[in-house]
Amino acid sequence: MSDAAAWIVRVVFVAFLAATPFMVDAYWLNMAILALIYALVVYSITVLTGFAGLLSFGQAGFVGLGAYVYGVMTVKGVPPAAAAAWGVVLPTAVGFLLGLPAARLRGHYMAIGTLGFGVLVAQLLNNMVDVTRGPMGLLGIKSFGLDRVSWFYCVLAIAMAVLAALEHVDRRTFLGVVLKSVKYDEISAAACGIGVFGVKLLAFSAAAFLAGSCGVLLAAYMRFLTPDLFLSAESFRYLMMAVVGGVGSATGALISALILTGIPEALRAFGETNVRLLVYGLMVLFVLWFLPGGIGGLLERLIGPRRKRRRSATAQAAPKGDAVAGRAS
Amino acid sequence: MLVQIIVNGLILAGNYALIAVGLTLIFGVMRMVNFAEGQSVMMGAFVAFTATPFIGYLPAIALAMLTNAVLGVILERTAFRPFRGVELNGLIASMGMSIILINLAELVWGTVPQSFDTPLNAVSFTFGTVGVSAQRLLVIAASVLLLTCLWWLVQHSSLGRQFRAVSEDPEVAAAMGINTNAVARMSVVLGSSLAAAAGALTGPVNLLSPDMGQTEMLNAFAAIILGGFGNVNGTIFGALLIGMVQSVAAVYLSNAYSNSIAFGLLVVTLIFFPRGLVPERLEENV
Repeated sequence: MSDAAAWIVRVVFVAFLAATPFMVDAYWLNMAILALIYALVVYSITVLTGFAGLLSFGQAGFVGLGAYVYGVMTVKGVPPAAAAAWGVVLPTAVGFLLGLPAARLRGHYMAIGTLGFGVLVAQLLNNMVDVTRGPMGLLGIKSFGLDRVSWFYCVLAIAMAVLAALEHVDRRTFLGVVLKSVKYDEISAAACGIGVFGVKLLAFSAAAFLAGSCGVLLAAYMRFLTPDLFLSAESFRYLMMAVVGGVGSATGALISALILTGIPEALRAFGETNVRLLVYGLMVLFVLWFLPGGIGGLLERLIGPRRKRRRSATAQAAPKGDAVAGRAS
Repeated sequence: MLVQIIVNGLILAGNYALIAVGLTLIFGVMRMVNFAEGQSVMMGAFVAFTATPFIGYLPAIALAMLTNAVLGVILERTAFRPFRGVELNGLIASMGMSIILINLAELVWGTVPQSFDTPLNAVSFTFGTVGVSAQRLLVIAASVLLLTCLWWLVQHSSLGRQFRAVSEDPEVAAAMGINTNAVARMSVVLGSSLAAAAGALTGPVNLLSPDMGQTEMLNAFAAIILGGFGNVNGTIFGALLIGMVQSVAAVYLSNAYSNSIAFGLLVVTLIFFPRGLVPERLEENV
């Protein structure tokens, strides 16, 4: 498909998303807003795993940190804008600090180490009752006073802006090349004078920044938090979204976040919760069986220019230096 | 108090070791992490729970292990075989299977936690001043027995040699005439049945619920990392360490933080020993 046609597809896609408030009822608009907020944390996995080849099972920890920093501060009377700034800065700083030891770990060690971080945050949120109100949930979170439709356009704008930024970094900047060199062959990258550790730290902090922002938006939108929203199971759900989206494709991540948030709701036709989640699990399996490159891989094949198609073929060969491939660990 | 701590620690350690060893075996052979292992634990516990009134507790454990062997074959076909070489997809596929298994279990057994009573819960032995139920001793004894059997299998049987060959170099192993697919299937079958044993043994000590295996699996991961991925002996050592630390912490610190303590220990260990306490040595994998 030519470049022009690809642009038409993009414009139609954005226009279709922007028209959502006119097409659906309040319930589905709510789901769309949540899905767009979740897209931010899925982007964080795109950066971490897709670009830099690092694996984190603890992203829900950063989301929880951002959400609770924002929530607790507004409850204590801090203006929402300042609280939002803290809610983004703090997880980023924690991401940097966690990156200091975690970036030295390889493959599965990094995955489980970050999982440990996620478990710790979830337990802290649950047990620090005097600050977070623990399992009773945090009530009375102040917000920006937007109505639902404005919220939708705000989060849509944020999601699209981050998407554009990520696609730009991935395709058009030197940083994108550097990140990929670290993903595919750390030793060669280091031999070329790339500071591998620094690049990994940057990826960690950037991912924590995105996940923290996701948390702030979640808290500001829902205005009620419980620690259950940030258990490790949520980290796995984000990972699932990222893989179904085709890790490394930001567009795939966005579409996957929309679809995987929407499908469990659409499946309410099946009645019982268990049946619909069962169908959901099966659908994830089917996507993995028949679309190993995920939604992003499908998009490349359908609308990607030829040059890109070749690159995706090498990307799927899972070379030796890939931190995801366990041999390297 | 001391006896109590040691017994509780050994129960936790035995439980984690059975789960972790299965995970390590699968990882060693296929380089894949089985995220449905926690649900294998849960399935094992529920099958034993359902079968006990009809055939008695001990045969029910055997039945749970057999059922889970079948589950292992299914898991290997659906979540592992299609994703050789694309480990991350396999990991997500096993998460997909775990969602399916949890919801299947909720449909069959309901979401309310159930208590699993066996005749052994009533019998107790006294050590000094503390009584320990026969069920608790059985958990420890059976874990040791199963782990010893596994050790023998890996070290001295033909299947064990195949495991070790495949984990060292799958291509060369295949060139030597080893059916790597069959070996991979056996690893999942063994891992899944060991998890069933873990669930069926500790079920009567705890409560049964469809989401029960999850925490145990996370702790088993911690044990694996401490012991070095793919290393059976190191994994058992890691499980002992985590079980004991949690048991001590539950008494002297706080029960609510017991998982935090395990993972705090893990994070601190990884800071100083980035490859685990027992570093992975390629020639000794599995």
